[in-house]
Amino acid sequence: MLLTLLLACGTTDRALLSVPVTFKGATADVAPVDGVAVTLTEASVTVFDVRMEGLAQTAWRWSPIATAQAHPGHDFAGDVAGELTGTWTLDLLGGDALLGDASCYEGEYATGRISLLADPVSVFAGTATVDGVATPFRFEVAPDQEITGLSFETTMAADTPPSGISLSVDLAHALSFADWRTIDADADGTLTTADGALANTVLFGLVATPTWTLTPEPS
Amino acid sequence: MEPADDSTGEEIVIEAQRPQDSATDRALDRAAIEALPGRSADDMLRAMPGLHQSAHGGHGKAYQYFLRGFDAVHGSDIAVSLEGVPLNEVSNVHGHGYLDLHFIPPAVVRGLTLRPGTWRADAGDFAVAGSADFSLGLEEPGGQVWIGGGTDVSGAATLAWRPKKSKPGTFLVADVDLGQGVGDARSWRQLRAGGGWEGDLGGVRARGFLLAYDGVFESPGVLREDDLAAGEVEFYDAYPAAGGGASRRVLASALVSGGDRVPWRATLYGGWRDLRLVQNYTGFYGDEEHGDGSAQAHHAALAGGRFEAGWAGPLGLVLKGGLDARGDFFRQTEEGVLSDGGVWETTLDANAQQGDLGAWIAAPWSISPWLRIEPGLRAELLLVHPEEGDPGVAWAPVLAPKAAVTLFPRGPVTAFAAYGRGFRSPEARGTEPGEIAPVALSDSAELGARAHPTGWLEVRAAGFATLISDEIVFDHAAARFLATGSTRRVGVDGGVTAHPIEPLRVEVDVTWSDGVYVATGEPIPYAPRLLVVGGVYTDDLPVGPLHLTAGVRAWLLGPRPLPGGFSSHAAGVVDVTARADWKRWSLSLDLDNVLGSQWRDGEFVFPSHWDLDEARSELPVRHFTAGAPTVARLAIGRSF
Repeated sequence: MLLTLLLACGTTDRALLSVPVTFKGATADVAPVDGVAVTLTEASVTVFDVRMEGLAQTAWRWSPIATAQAHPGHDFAGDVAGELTGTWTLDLLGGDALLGDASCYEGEYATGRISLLADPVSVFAGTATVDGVATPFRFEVAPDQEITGLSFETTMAADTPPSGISLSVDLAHALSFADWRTIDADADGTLTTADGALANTVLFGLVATPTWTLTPEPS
Repeated sequence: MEPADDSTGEEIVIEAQRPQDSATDRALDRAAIEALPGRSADDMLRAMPGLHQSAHGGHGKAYQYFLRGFDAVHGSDIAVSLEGVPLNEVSNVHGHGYLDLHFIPPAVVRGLTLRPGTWRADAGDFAVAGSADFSLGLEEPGGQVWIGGGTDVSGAATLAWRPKKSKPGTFLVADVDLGQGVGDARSWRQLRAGGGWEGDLGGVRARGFLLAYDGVFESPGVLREDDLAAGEVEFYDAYPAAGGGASRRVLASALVSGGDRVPWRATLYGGWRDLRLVQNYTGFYGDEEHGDGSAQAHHAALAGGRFEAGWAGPLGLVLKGGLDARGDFFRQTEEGVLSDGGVWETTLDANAQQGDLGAWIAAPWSISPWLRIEPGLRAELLLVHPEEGDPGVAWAPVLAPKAAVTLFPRGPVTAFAAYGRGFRSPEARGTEPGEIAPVALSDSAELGARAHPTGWLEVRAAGFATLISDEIVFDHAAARFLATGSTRRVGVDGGVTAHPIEPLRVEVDVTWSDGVYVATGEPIPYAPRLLVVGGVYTDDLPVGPLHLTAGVRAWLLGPRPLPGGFSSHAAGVVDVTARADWKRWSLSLDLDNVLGSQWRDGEFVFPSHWDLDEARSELPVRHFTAGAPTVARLAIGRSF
């Protein structure tokens, strides 16, 4: 009878769901700031690993890695609960692209994160029209940064799993920190990251958290 | 089961008017210990109602303890002493309160007192969920030698001797225990030696012991559950360079006691400790270049003393009090190590000292034949000198009230109510000089009863609750204390002991507990919720020319909550011991896990990365440590 009782209150396992992750292509025409219209002809970024994190259940975390050797597993939720590992060089203007199937535990989620790789470099090229004057540009930046804190508030249930997760980029926001009135210092006719502070401001916009969105698609 | 103690008269005098402490206290004498399956000091502790142990670190590392809804880790919430000498190691580099009992020679454990709860005023540091005390000695004069081996490619030999006409506390003992174990990375070697002396010194009774221990062991560490499912590892395998350690300890104590009207007892003790542990639970998760292996070393010296006295006053009133003083001096290091053992970084190298000054008083008072009360109070001053070269000292005062009420102490049904505050001292690594150090405090209450409906049957039950206003946890990664919020634990201990035919004893203990974080309702991870332990024992059964001592013990552990909404597997194990004595010869057989279950001793959920050819995943997955396999050990003994 006791064995029956024990088995009745059996092991709980959170179901591991397979959820497709799709990059949603961006549009080529954006208006990063008032008075500036940008038409992109090329936009590519290298993304590395997509991860979703659960709710922190308590006020503390006990790191399971390296220095917390005494008791493995004393990490609480708030850690990764879903992920898709891999490296993708995304053509941001090339339309939707399936990245793969993420493994996600059922349960509540709060945040997500991705990483941008420096190699291959990220490229933004096209024409910026400022005050009626069109100027070609080509920015090449090398981000090497994890972008954390992407809002990903959802609950995944095994019986009603989400149909997918979409990753999208706001190119207007990404390019909104650039000073489009920067003088073409090398007079080569094209704005580049060698001109003014564009190297920093383009990179800043690219790795800014609001530039990226991770969205659960309803089941 | 009360020990027939002819050597500790002072304890009997002080305790004379204490008919029964609580519904769940338990005392084992040597005969009861002999009937318990398993032979190590840790195995003996399993007799505590509600206690579960995990040996996830191999045969040589301190066990992990779980009691009454507490994950006491390696001893942080259970105070264990040997002849009154505290054994928990403060600020041990591997875990505060580290409780390594491997140094105790099992052959000379003469008695064991087990006390779930924390209401006794003499219970000090680490007595948060419960406490236990071992006593040493040999019941019979003369010598005994044992030699044996097991199917786990193990061998053991013991020599114990008590001179004729000496008291039980006078003994010499030496033993060796070594083996390969079943599966990978499970070998061990343990050497123990020691002696004790008990006698009269100028009108006072005196007792002392000296024990020395040297052990080395491998530790298989954890395996990923998905690797097992994929057939990449077998159940008793280990990943390369999983871990192990070396442990040495010397402990000595001298006790004198005397007094008739005011019995007293004074104890001085000291010891030396050397521990090195190597472990890697996560492979290359944190560092793909070097791996996550680490080596921890702890070198410590301990010195302390205790004084207790009691006075039996008029009208059934007894006054008892005591003073405790303890100092720990230690150096500890933590290093990153490669799979070949080479050190590539040092993350900790510290010298520190800790002090503990305590005073307690209790006033057990038998107001009437049916009512006994025992108010008590314990005051403690905890001191930490955490940094070499900085004269600053962190300190913390603790005031711990205690109280107990017993109704019908000598009746067929005895009821108990008790309250006590327990505490755990701060850990040096997380303490800053000059500050008030954080102390974990627990308030526990217990209601229970024991009934003896017949002369051969005892039924007992107790409900308990523990509140911790702010659970203080030491974060090893950040090396500081974290306040994790309020927790509460409630539960029930129930049990039956029957002696249907002497000397047969049937015993069942059931413990259910529920521990949660108050703010979130999330369960406290790892702590067992349901533990059922049952056994049939015979202490000294004449069978023809033989005398048989045997025990069969089964335990069932319900699923335990794990972090992140997971729970562990239920587990059940049956162990058997049998010993036959014939004239001067003895034969013993121990069978571990006779049902052959592949059970998971520890289960954890965290990410790891063992195969560098695969992508590094941060997804938490189940890991486990394999429970004890089926093993038979046979030994032959001869007394002289």
